[in-house]
Amino acid sequence: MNMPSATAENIVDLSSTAGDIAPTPRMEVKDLSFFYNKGAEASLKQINMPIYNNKVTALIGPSGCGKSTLLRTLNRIYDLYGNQAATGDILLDNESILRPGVDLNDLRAKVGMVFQKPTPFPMSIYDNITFGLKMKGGLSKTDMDKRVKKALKRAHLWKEVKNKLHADASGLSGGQQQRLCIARTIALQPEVILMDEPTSALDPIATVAIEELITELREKYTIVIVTHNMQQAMRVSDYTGFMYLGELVEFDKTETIFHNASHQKTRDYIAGDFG
Amino acid sequence: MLSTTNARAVDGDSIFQRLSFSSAILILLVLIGILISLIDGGWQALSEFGPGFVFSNEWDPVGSQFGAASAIYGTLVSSLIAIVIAIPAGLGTAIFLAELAPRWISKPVGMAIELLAAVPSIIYGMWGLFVFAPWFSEGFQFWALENLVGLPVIGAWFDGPPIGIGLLTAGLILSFMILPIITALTRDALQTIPNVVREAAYGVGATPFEVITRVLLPSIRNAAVGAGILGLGRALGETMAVAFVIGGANRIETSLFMPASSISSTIAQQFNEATNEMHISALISLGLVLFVLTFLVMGVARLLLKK
Repeated sequence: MNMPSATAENIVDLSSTAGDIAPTPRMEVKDLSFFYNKGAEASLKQINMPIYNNKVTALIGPSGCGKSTLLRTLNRIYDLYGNQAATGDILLDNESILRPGVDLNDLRAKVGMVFQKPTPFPMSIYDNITFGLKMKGGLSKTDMDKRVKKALKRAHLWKEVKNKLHADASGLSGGQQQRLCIARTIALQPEVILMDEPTSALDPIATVAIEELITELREKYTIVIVTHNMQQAMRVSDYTGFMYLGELVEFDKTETIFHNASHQKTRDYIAGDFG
Repeated sequence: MLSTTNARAVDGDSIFQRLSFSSAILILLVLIGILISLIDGGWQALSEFGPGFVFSNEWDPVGSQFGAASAIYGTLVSSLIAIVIAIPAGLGTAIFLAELAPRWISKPVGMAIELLAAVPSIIYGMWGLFVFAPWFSEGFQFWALENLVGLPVIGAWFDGPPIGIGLLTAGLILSFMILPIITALTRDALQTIPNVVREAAYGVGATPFEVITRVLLPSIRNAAVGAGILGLGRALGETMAVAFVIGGANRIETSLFMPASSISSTIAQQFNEATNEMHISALISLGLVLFVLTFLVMGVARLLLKK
């Protein structure tokens, strides 16, 4: 069987879709390959993909297909591990983030990340949010307070925590902790938010809260979400990329992927035939 | 058929339950037994000297006058010195091994530290007396006498004979001894922190220093305190390493260079010379004091842990 490879010709030219305002890419992934060990087989193979401004892009695919790996290249968090390497390029606002000399702290402030499991830091709710802000510096106490309040409000956590801002964050429920992590990311005023299965550790009610939040956040931020849950991808995303064995098989509008995919593999996966 | 299987299961359960219950009780019984025999053996001295046994620092086997204050002082101060040095050094080593060092360094050094924890204490004592003490005398004590003695408060600590052995040397040897265990425990605790926590912290733009001091160390706070308690427990009761280098003088002095004694080193050094009953009884009472002292220190440490 001839597996389709996700080179440029596989990507449908979305800007030509009639009746829509052409979306502009915030980030662009170009010929990206990724290696967990130098010299090992590529875990991502020649990925090409746009990430459109103020849209939610979902990455779906079976376990081990590389969707989390792709996400982890977008803020170069893989850089923490010396032996991992990426080739090709990723552009943020038309500037390469893979070239040497990129200020990683600056990049990660622009491209924030929310993880599978809530990762509150061992400090108060307030300090969790200001932790990243203090790194950037230059904010007065009043500004800091405002930012905290704004971030918590936007993450729909303010009402629940406004009377215990200085209580330890570990006392919050799982869903609250995850919203705190989103608030922490928002407080840095990023351009792009990466979410790696942000609801997989949460109960259905907390999941709904996060999904609603994602839909709202789209107005201000560009979001990339990795998810195992196809209903979730359908509910929250505007664009969807289907990945399989380290390749981006198909990338299109979410509607098209779910109802009118052009590749058999995509259709099989969505129909639940594998994965 | 079904009922017999059930009966067997119930029998097995109850036997297992009784077995584990009785082994738990056994530990308690042994503990109480030790306590009773210590009180019984030390009763002669305890009833003779009363509470004065703990507060008097006169230890005179010839005149049959016994007070434990100097030994208690020596035990507490040498352990305190050990802990004050070993906790920061151990934490620093653990952070280096778990967070900063490349794998090819952290692996062999980590293994070396585990081996170091298994070195018998008498080796530390011997090394302390024959190698460390002469070096310490020439390398540090002479320098301290010239440069530190005039200083307020701490000056008096270093005003004494530069003979290499003494309270400070005992504390230092103890700190070397408990360093490996503190390092190993805190390193293991750091390694159990999921990587995603580090990624989240670096993900908001924190530097390695901030990630370590504000996120990782607070996360292992309990484990670090626990490691400190374990090290302290070992330091309080350590006998041979201390007996070699502490000097064996039953005195309370401000100078850390002066020979002193600890509870366990006094017992070890005097037990086979003790001929009269009161002397033996006093030494057993010393054991009781150490037993209670260790319990108290551990209790306080546990209270601190809860806060």
